[in-house]
Amino acid sequence: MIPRTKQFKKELPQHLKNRVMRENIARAAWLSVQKRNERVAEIPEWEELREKASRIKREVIEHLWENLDIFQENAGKRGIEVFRAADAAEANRLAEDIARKHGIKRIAKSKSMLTEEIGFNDYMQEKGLEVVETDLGEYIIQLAGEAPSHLTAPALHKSRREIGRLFQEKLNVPYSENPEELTALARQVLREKFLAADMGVTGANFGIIESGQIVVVENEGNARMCAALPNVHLAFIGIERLIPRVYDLDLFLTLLCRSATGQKITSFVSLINGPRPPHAYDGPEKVYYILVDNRRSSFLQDEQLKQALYCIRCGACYNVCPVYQNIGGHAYGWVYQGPIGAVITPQLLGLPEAKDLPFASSLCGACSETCPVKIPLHRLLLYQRRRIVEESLSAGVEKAAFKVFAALARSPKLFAAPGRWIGRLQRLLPLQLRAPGWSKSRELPQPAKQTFREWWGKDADGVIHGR
Amino acid sequence: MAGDARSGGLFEEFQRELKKLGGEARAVESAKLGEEVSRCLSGEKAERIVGYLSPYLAALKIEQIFREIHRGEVEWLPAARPAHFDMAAHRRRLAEADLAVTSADFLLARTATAVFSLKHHPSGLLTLLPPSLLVIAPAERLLADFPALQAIFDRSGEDRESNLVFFTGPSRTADIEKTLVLGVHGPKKLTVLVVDVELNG
Repeated sequence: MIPRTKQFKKELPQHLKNRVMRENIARAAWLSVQKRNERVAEIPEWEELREKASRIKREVIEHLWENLDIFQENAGKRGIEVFRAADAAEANRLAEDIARKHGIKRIAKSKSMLTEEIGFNDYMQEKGLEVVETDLGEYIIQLAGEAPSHLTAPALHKSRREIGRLFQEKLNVPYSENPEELTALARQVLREKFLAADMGVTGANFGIIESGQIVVVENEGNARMCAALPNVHLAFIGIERLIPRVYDLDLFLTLLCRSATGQKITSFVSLINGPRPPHAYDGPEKVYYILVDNRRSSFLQDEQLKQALYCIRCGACYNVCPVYQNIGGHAYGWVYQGPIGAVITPQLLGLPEAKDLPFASSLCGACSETCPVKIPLHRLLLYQRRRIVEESLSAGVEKAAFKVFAALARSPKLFAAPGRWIGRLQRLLPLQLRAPGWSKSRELPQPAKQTFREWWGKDADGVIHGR
Repeated sequence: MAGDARSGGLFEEFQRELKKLGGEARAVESAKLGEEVSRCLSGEKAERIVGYLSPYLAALKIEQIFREIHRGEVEWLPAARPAHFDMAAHRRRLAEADLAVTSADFLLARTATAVFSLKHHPSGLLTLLPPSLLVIAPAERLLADFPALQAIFDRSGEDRESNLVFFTGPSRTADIEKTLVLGVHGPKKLTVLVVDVELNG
């Protein structure tokens, strides 16, 4: 996916004007938050679970390279071939090599943010291979030629009428806006795609270090089909997705499912085990993992940003974020959106590419409160802001203004002086000129008749004591 | 653990949780299994049936039960896979079947989860492709939750690293305007028969 993060500020008004999208997003986010809160309330020890998960992830990330070696070795013992990719280009090239080796033509794929990140679909399609998204939401946006607008609900921004018209046009079927009918139709079309596919591609919610297995968490059954139906299964795994033990799943599934979709557990949780054993009736003959770095290791060198690697991609921080609720996922301009996106995108793409994203936050802290693995998201947003300022990426005017402010704020006398005349000056200006830009979408309050210092200096009789 | 006095309470919890998810669980006596299966089949179009003849289902004489109540053909996958086996045909058959019948390794009451291990259930697609799934499991396999399952794995020492599938309620999606729809890729209908539950009272 080609990032549009540089155009963030410029394109923002057009997203804000999209009323249908905003209503869809706000409604869906609100529903998700409610369901999540109900499920969390059922667990009195929720805070301890968050703490425990955060600690486990910290331990894994602190020793990531050793853990990756062990994971890879254990996967190898299961007959899984494991590759490591330093970046997106290498990951795609490795996948292409695997596809060529097995004479693959058609690929059935389940939802994976990592494959969006590396641009897998476009790459494979350019090489003449068919890639079909099989998650219903992903299939909808693939038909529409759009990008996902949420971590767990990619077609969140689309209404049933839009989807009905899309199916009518692209699949040549009678119009319907009944979700049941639309889903049945997708099942039928995608079932044939599944049976024709010679390779299945999935992501991985977790990689289990002690066993070399991966875990796929889903509700539709399509990811399991991608892993079990075609002869070759290829899984893309972000290097940070590891957890130590099979038994840690109880904890992480509790946190993930309740946070992501407000479920106790999703319909399907599959532990992928490797190639088909001799006694099995079905399953893939070959299983490949591609472990993708793509700048994740750069987080490891930064004590603060390291914590962003704990993320289990539940999307709960999107749902509670007042900025996300208003601008929607597409406004962020790339794969990862909401608060976690605003933290990691500047690192994954480079600071200059996404320097506006960390400022798209009210710093209310709802994200940090919600995060099931206790990533201090709003603090990391502040941290990214500081780095952007330090790297001199913020606007020159803004920097000059803050320099002047810093000089004034250091001296009580200098600080008091402008207070007296700024308010008076403001009252003389027409409203629009008082704070250009800022007052475009807000109303500037009338300045008070007297300054705080003037008021403080008066005694009960209203007499000003000179200073 | 057979006849465990607690199985009644666990069953009720399993049943309640599965109902919330759109599935159905019933307690059944092994002697009356035929009647119950017959009732399950009467409510739906189940012409093409594929089943897995696990040692447990074989002991329940499931083949005979289906012969008595179902006129159409039922294809039973033997516990041991035949050496010569047409995989493409097997996939196609499962994709076209109306109903799959199998047993589960464990049932977890707290979440209404059926646990299948590939070691004991050598067809992963059986529980996935047909639109309706009938699971028959003994009450002694009913556990409270994941930690209870861990305790059993610790005793057996090997299963936890098997290809495990946790299957909780029918396949579902809410991708269109957050409206819940069952059966998008996997089974739309899920029935679990728990055999010889010690019911309270």
